[in-house]
Amino acid sequence: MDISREEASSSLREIGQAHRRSTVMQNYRHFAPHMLVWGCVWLLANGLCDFYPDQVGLIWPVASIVGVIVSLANRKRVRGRLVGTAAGMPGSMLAQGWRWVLAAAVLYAFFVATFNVLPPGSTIQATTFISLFFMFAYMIYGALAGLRVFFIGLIATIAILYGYFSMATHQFMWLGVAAGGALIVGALWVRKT
Amino acid sequence: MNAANEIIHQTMRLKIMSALNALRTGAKLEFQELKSLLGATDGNLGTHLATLEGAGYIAIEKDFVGKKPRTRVAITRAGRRAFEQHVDYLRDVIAGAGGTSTSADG
Repeated sequence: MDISREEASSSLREIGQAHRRSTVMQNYRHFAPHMLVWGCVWLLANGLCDFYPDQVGLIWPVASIVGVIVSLANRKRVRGRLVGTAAGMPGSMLAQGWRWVLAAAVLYAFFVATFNVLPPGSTIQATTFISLFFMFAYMIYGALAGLRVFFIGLIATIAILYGYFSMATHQFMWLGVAAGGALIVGALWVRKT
Repeated sequence: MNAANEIIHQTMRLKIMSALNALRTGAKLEFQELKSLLGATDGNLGTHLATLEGAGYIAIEKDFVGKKPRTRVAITRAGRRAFEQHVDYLRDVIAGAGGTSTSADG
């Protein structure tokens, strides 16, 4: 079998393209269920905050814990589906689960530290900051792992900023609909890949 | 020196192997996902998958999800090795060290 340099070069290009597309698809498949969960958390938690603004300090910690638990359960289900029985090894899952809990604790500590250094003027300011933080994180992840996630983060960021600077009332509701809605719609879009 | 692998080198099979090689060990892609990923037709993809399975480069698993049939494909260890050797061969050709040797089993 004789392969010319041009043919070899063209084959390597095709290999690279197929590899990239497969990797992006895997990233989306891993990410979509989490995005759906956190979209629902954002929507419900902010919706509740709109009705009970004095309960923000209770609603968000509870919603975050529920989100982490459902995300962990989702992760186990998705990995089991993708990899089969080898991925469902208890030791491996336990180790990965603790990483998520640790990551959540680090994020919580980050926001506590940040709000102590730069105290927010209102609860909506604090919640908007947290939402923006995550949407920018989505954009960074999307830039590296799949552009659809980047655009979802970008649209949600623009919507959040519009609501924060333009709306006088129901900012929590807007935050829930904008950020949560973008994540839910985005998860469905990404899952269709 | 690495040798060309005639089974893998066909364009569609090269793409299939590349897409599967990008997965973690033991991970699988569903037939429909592979189809949309590669822009292939059912018949075309099925034929090439059968060739790769016959060579021992991929494993095909068929089951049911509820009443819906599902086909999942994974690359085998031999397939991963053969694919990597073929990629090395292609790199050798570009570097000017390639020859005309051929291998069917990598």
